[in-house]
Amino acid sequence: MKIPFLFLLLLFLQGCAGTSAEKNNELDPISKNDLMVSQKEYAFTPPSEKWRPLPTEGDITVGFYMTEGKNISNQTSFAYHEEPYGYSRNLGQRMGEFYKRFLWASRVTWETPRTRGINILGREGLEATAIGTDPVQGNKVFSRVIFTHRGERIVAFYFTQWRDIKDPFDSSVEAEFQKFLNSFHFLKPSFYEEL
Amino acid sequence: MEGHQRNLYLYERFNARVAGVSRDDVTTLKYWAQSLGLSFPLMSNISGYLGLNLGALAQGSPVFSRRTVIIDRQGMIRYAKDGSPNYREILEVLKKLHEEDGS
Repeated sequence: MKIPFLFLLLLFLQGCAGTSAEKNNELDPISKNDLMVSQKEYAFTPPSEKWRPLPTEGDITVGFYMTEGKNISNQTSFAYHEEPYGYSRNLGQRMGEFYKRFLWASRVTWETPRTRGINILGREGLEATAIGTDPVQGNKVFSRVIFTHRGERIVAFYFTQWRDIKDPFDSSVEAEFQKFLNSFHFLKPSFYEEL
Repeated sequence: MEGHQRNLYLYERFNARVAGVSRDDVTTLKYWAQSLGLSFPLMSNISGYLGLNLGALAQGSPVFSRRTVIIDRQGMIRYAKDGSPNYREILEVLKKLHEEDGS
């Protein structure tokens, strides 16, 4: 029997939501023009030395984090992600899908995100900010997520800051994220653009 | 699974269709697909014969191991890989088969 199409069959154990480890977390030395290159594809101004690279397994393409003080929950991170949660290629729909799963393992309850249209990397973008809380652990997290298009797909930048639920957020460190955003550019077309 | 949902438009472009197979019952799969927003078919194979035929059911195991299989238009298995799906590799295989096929 000849079937009219190729068939991709997935045998699965329900609940496994892992992602493939297909990325190379290679950060090149800083070049003469003060740019750092990751995976020969992403160039950006690196943050100051107190920021450390995030492991790129799971949902991060390239990113950095810092921990302030002795409280381990006082962590701030920012990242670029080539495959943000969700699947839609519409910015608003993707934002909704994203927040359904973002930090799901931390059992965060998100408030309704506030959104605004922006221009990022010279193209249309959608910025969402929201605060999530984890009443069990007594933590809260501020998130700022920027969605934009890369070719046919949607990519995202995100900034998160964790604090004890009683402590204020520190927005001053967001300047490092902004510096990352302002300098970020692609050195070559994406896998999907070349497919 | 969300990665496959994200790539559906590319599978369509390469004339490929995707389906998932699990030993869970239909009701469980229905709610699970809804929670993830999956729009492609999920098949309930409680008896496990599909997993047995495709090498994803170890003897005595109550569940399938994770396996991705690509079957061509002639019904031949052209790709099989265990573990978490490598989405980019899958797309490259589908593209190659589509080009071979000329469809």
